[in-house]
Amino acid sequence: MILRPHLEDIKNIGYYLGKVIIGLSLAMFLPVILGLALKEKGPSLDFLISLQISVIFGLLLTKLCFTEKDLNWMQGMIVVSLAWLAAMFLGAIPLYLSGHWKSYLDACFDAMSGFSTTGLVLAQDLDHLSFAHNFWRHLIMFMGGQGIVIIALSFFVKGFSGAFTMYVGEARDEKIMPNVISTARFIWLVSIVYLILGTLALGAVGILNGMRPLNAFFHGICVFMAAFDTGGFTPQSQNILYYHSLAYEAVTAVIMILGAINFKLHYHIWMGNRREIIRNIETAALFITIMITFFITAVGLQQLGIYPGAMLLFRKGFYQLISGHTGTGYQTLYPAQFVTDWGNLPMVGVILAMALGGAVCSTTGAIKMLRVGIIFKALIQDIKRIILPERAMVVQKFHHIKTLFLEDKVARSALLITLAYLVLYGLGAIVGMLFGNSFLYSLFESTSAAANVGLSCGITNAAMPAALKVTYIIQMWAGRLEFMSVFTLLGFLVAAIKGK
Amino acid sequence: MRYKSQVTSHKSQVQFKSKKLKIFCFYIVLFTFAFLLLPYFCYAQTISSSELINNTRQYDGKIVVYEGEVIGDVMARGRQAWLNVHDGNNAIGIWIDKDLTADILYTGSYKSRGDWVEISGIFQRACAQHGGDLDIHAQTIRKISPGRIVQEKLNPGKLRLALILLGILCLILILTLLRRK
Amino acid sequence: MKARAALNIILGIAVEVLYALCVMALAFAISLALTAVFKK
Repeated sequence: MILRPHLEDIKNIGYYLGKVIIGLSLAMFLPVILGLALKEKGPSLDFLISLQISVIFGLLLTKLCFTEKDLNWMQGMIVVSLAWLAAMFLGAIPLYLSGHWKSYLDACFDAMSGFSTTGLVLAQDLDHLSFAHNFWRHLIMFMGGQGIVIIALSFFVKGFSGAFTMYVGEARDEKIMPNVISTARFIWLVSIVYLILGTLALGAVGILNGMRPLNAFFHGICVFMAAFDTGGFTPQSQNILYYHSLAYEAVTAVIMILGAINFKLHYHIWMGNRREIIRNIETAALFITIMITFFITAVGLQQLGIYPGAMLLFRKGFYQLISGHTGTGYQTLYPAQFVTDWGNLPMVGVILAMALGGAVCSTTGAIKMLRVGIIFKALIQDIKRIILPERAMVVQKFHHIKTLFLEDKVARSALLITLAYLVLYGLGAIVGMLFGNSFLYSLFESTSAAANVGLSCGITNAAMPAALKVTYIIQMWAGRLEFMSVFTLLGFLVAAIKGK
Repeated sequence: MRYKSQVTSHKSQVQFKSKKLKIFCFYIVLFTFAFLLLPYFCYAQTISSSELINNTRQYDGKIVVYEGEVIGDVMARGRQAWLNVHDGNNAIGIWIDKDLTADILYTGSYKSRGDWVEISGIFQRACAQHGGDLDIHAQTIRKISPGRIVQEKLNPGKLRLALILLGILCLILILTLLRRK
Repeated sequence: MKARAALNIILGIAVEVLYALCVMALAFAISLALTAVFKK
């Protein structure tokens, strides 16, 4: 028997949702200040309007649904999934007001693409977009990468047990420190330290590349936020091709790989346990899968012979691959070139890389390395069970911060999430094909959306059907939250209709 | 006699005219052939970015004429420079002599429209010199129309909306304060 | 104690960047090898 949710549940959800929305809307102050500092009055006004709408919405929710109760598991999960939808609708308002998006749906698409650190773009005339709007596009990637709820959590002074449910709901199943709020703050520490270093590095390279200092550092901070959070937006329409620079590509590649590392691993390495980077199952799996998928891509490219030198192969082949594998989506190719120049095998290599993703508890999307490592170990265990005598006890271990025994329960949950991702990639590809695109290109774009990558082979554009836009939005949302909180929301809705 | 000479001169005039016509026709045929053969070596008319990007193999290594707005920064690299020129659909990187960029005064950004330029140069699908980038190595550049500073106008409708929202926000805050008391 | 913690963080960052550079170096080696193989 399904139980119909009580008014209490809805009140609890509404109250915490309102809190998160208020936290989020405060972030809109940053582009307002930037706009005023750079004398961009129109864009500042756009953000002021959006800020007011968001605060009103958040205040109304907290006032109408006021409660002093803590969140339970189901409510926490639902708050997270709704918070991401609310973030999309509210975050899209300033984008839509700028006039650079053809419809509010397009603005929502780009907002979800930003929050989920995907990087697919429907913006028009990006090269004439204001600093304030451009900063917002990249800031939402930074916030979405850390986790919208994490941001709200780090503003709370004292912890409450419901905080942990929201933390988990946002696909962060690892607690770095005993307290969720100190965990959230540590995630911020890592990000801010790298933000400073990365912005300085990119700004310096930008100036050496001949950019004006203001532009060089503005691009530096934006590109850092999108690269470290494995997002994929850039301030210009040409993406990374705009810079025409090996140094820029090298620095962004390093930042992308750093962004694909687990925050828990960052913590242990920064605390002095440096050997962990070699021993950890995730860094090992990441290293191996990058090499395998790059080998496939590179062989495919060499068969076509379009990049005759090793340097060309590395700069074009490896850059798109590492960008796909870490889930960033930076491109030094035009989307159409995947189709006209790359052909099937290199695209398959990149699709595989995109589908695998980076480490868990990092800012990447997709299946993720811990699960890939666990599934591989489970396979080895099963093969051993068959080969060895029946009486032999087969024990499989893996090293993730500490050495752990591989239990069937762990393998089962890794396989289930993997299966869910594969289904999501496949469903998106089918929808793409329903609109007349070929199988490989549909699969490429669908994997890119669901794995929060952002590489595009040209299907994503403002002229594509609205149904396809909505499909990709759902894929980005479900892929970023790793299904559980989305399924909980669906279950809640079913219970509300069918429950007794 | 006089009459005869008149007739011969008329005849020679006719012959002369027909010879001129033949030469003219020959030239026309020659030009037509040259015009037809021209695309094999270079493309005289402007080609759009979409056409170039979607048919990279066809245009690879050929001289093309491309026009658009200069956007972002003119990035100097030693004696050369990179321009990014946007024709309304895509921007393409232009590798050009730095001296040739002296004419460019405005580049496209939020606050300005960039100079509209016409470039003729060699199109490269995967440029060996620049890490496989799709680019054009410019030989000549011509400014078609100058850019300008864009004057920003505040939308009165948006201003009114902002004020109304501010009113609502204040109302909610006052109401909550009153309720607390 | 604080100096030691700061040193650990700096060394930690160095190790992480080194990991990224190793990934890139091996990928470049693969590119070199494949280019040589396909030239033949």
